[in-house]
Amino acid sequence: MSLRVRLLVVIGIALAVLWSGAAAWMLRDLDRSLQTTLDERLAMSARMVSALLTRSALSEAGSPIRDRGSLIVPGNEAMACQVRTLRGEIVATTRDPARTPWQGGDLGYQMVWLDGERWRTYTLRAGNFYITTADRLDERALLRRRTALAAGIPFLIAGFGGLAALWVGVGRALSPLRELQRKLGNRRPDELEPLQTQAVPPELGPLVRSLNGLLDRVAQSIQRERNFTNDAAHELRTPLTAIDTHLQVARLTQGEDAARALQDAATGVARMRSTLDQLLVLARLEGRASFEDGERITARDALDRALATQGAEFNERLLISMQDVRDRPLDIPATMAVVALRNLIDNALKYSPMEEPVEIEVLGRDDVTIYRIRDRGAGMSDDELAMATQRFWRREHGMAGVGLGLTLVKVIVERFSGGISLQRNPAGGLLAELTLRHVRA
Amino acid sequence: MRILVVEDDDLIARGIVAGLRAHGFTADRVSTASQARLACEHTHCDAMVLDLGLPDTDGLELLTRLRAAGNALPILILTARDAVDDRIRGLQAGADDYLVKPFDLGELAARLHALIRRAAGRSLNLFEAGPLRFDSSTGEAWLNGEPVELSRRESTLLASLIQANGRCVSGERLKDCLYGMDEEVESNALNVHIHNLRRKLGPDVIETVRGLGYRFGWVRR
Repeated sequence: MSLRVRLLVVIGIALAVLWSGAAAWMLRDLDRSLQTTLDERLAMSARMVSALLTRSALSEAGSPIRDRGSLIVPGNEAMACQVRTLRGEIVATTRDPARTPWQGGDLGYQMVWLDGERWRTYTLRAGNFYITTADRLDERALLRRRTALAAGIPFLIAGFGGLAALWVGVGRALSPLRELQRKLGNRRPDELEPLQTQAVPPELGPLVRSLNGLLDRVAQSIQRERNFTNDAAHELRTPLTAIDTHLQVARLTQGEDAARALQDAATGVARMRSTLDQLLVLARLEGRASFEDGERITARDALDRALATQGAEFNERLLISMQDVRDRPLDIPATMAVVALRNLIDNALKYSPMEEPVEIEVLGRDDVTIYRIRDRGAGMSDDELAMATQRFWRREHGMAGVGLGLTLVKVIVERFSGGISLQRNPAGGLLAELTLRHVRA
Repeated sequence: MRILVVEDDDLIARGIVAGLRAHGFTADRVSTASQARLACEHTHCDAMVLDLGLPDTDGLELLTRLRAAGNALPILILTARDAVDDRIRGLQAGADDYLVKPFDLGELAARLHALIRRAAGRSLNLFEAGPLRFDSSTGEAWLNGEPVELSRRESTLLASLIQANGRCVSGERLKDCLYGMDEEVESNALNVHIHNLRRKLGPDVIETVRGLGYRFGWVRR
């Protein structure tokens, strides 16, 4: 249901209920007043006749019927007046005496049936006479209906007119929303500029500001994705270029040159595979893919597996020390713990001189295991430390790697509630501290 | 003809250099912008293949500086940046051509030949003078319509002399054209190649200008 129809229905129902209630209350009050007025008119008429009788000689006469017969006064069929003696002889009447059988001496207001019609009567005693005035009730009902109609029609006109005015007014009031809808509907998918806020009514201001905030966040997100795609394409294109170029060289040359070119092409393939592996792990981590493979690993085994992926030529450079290492498994999938550790150790080996050692210290705590990896390389400036975990950031172009190693470590620890800190090693180089939680006992 | 390859990625650089050498060029590689500037100042090269993502300075900045310094060396940008805006920026900064990685080595060689040819004011690779016909893109030579077998160095030497448009070329510059920076050159190597060319094409194909260098002998004056 559209907002316009909904508003119309809600306000219309509310108005109809309120106005109907008010009209019912007013009509009820009007009807009561009308009945009272009509009754008082009956009583007043009777008293008037009584006063006239009292002044006339008729009131002292014995039986005027015998002298002059009944006086019949032509009148309205819906109203009647009758003067009768205490014995019931009709002295004067507005109706045919045969059809005016009001008898008895009940004074005051009465409801009586006469010839199949209900009458409201008022009877008054004046000396030797009863005076009865009467209204036919269906006439009163007709009057009541006319009054109700006269009073109700303006209510109905006002009601329907109000609804029409409401329909038009709501439509006009909602036009800024329709304009907003039109503007958003006509936008191209890549059109993410903020909406104008000047001509927007104050009530729509928060909505437009929220939409602009959303558009801004979407634009930033798209830009990030675009940068990521560009960087990823660039990083994949580089090894692809190397493979392609060396294969062409292999076709153009022979012997030792061709063999060297094929070897270089194979190096390019290995580099591309590594880049793809890192991108896939990153995509799985950021895509919230499930890593619940059930395999958990202890801190010691994680380090052993990470070291196993390093070449044997690096073994002599690694100085490993362990303190209070626990046997409780780490609360992280084995593959992710190994990837994080391997990347940190890779970096330490890659960015420090071949003759310098890399220290790996493993500290066990009740809840966590801390891996400290120190190298004696060039280290990083504060600016570089701030950028080190950004995707595709590399300290030096031309170095092996694509700049995803530390990014992956950061994403892994964020996903599995660990921690990573990078700081300058007091002895020179870089100190990386990786904290991984244990599974709860 | 000597090409300076400015590329920071070792693996790709090795492929480009090997590919250009296989196409008859003399190719040398440097990995930074500062090394490229030094190479331009102190050695001769006929064209440059420039990567944009260099470790010390962006390739575009190097290009702008070279052009600002009046260096008219033909420069081909070879990069993974494939957006139209990147190409426009590269060409506006002074590049003569733009090629996106991955690329075909044959196309790279053909583009470099075209750049070098245009720099010398020629529109065809095929050069004819006197009894000689020479295709600088393939290194093939014909004397009086008969094919003549030239080695890679000999055709490079002949192309360098033809490229000079009748100007005298010093021995050092000819050595730069024939040998890469990482190649050992024997002291009489250039004389050997000149001797072989004269033997195959005739003694007056190369004139010796005493104290200055050498000149192509059949140039139309």
